[in-house]
Amino acid sequence: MTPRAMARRAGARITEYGGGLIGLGPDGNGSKSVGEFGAYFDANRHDFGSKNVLGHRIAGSGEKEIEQVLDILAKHPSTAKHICYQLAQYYLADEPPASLVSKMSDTYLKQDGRIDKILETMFNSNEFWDPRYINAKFKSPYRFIVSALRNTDSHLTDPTATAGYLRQAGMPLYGCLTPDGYKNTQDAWLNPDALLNRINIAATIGAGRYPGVTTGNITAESLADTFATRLSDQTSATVKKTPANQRVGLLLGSPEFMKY
Amino acid sequence: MTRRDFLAKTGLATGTLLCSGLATPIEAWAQIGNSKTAATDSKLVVIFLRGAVDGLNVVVPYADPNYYAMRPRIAVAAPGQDNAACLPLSNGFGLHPSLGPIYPLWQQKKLTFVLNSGSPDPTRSHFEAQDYMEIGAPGQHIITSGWLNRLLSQLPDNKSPVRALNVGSTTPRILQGKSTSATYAPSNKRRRAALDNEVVEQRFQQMYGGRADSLGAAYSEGIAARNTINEKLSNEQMMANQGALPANKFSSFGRQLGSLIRQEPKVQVGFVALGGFDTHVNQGAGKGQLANQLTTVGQGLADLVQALGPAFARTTIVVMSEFGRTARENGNGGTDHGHGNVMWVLGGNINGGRLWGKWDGLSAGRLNENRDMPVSTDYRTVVAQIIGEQMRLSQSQLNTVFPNFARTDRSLADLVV
Repeated sequence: MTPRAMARRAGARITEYGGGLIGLGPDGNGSKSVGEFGAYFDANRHDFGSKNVLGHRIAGSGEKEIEQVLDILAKHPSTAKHICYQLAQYYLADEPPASLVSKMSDTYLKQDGRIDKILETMFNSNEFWDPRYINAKFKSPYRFIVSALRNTDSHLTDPTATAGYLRQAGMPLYGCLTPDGYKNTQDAWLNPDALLNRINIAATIGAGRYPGVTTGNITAESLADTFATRLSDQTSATVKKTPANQRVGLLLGSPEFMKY
Repeated sequence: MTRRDFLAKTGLATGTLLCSGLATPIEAWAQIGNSKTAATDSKLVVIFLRGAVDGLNVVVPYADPNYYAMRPRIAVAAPGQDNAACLPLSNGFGLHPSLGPIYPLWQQKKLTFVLNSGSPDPTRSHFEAQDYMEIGAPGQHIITSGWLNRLLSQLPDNKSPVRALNVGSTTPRILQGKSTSATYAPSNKRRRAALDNEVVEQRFQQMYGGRADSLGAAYSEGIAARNTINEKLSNEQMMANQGALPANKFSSFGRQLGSLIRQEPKVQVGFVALGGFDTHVNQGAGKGQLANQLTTVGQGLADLVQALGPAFARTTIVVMSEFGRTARENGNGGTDHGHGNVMWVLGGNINGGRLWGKWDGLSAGRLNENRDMPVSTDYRTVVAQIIGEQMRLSQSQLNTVFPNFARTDRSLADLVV
């Protein structure tokens, strides 16, 4: 199917499913009584025709249709797969093993989407403990700067520079334009310039000179303990050769600290 | 003519004119060969004016009385009418006086403008429109790489860490993607970064240098780019430090970028983004807020062309902005978000000294949505014409740079020499 045809079909579906939602919206001027989640359903604007959603026929009944549509979408195998893929990608690897995603999706569908059960499946899986997937993820700019501050027990007295770093790195706080959110993959965030920038920032934090940050009083040993399952031989050797007062900055800029 | 006639005329039938008959074809082939090599030397520099620069005050339609009726406070005067009047271009259009430094290029036919150009997407949100223009696929959010990065993937990879040069402090969307680009922040004060210290650099080199993974590669590329830039620019920076520090940190972007490109032939694309053009309030006319911003651009472009030197013959500079502004001024002496804008094109190999694009005037019925300028020429048509001709890209390669874009607009066929 050509991209144009796909877009037309998607558009038609949106119109169809959207018909079920017409009439639902935020309460603009605070004068109407809103439902549980702050939305107001205006029956006058609703489309009362019947709709076809993913093979299910929905009679035009008003506000109840919305719950029906949401239920259909929430219980759909594609939804299960998508959400489980995202979870596995966030925790394990940019391309998580299909076997794990499959196991998690099964749990999702059998356990009515309960996230605690899904996570249990993930934490108890062989894949989760496979050494291949330990420290395999490259940190996003957000994760990098937050982990740098937390791991060193630092305090943020003025967020300007930190927020500025996020903007500069292309990840302004809550500033993602698209509804699917910021990516957490290496492809999205690793580039030569970004990496050198992180290293320079790491050294500045280590030296206690990052604006708006009071770097915590932490030793290189306890820092290494906090974030590293294992330091590479090169990193360990380099740390040993570095004067004690520069080791924290060095570790924050190390390859190991760039990953989780 | 019949084949027999043809052979008789060229003498090939008799064989006596064989040598001279073949001489011309060989020469022609030699020319094609040379221009193929020359094409790989072609460079593109994109200057992005963020904030939606007011195109109607950049290329001023001074012959249209509607212009003055719609902009009582902020219209730029017609040539010679006051001491901040526009400079005459052609067909009743004038150049904003603050762009005087590039006016000689118009006279030398190395500068032109495409009227009523831009993105077909109707969004008037800065971020969204900039994103669309940088991705090169307006109206969708699936493709996330920038078109300039995709262009790099279609050019011969000379393995230089500075084949793509970004002037600024962050990698813009237009350069995001698989190909690598070097970022260089112009500054007159060199702030010491940790990696500037040799001892510190060696430590990080020890941790990253030996890694065979993407982290190791990224580190090495970053250091290589930084070293190349430092080496090529060390003289430039010394000169800048000795002089007075200009207020605007981008005021020397032209000179530095041009020098770099001239000294490093492997640079293929360059990018600079300048801000401060979102003039909703108190825009000014020939003088004022917009004029001040344009002064930086005008001087920067003139410096860039001068610093490029002989490299200008193979370089094209395109200036774009995410959309234009309203034709009528607002109640605050400014203008609001619009649609169509002007694109500026400078280059050693373009047909300048005349205007391009479709212009229907400023009467009410001709405006877009009765408020701003239409987009009659897609920005991708402009860029595709330039890179297609100068960099010898095939249609398939152009489709990679600008996916799902049908090149049906032939109005710019003669833009490139």
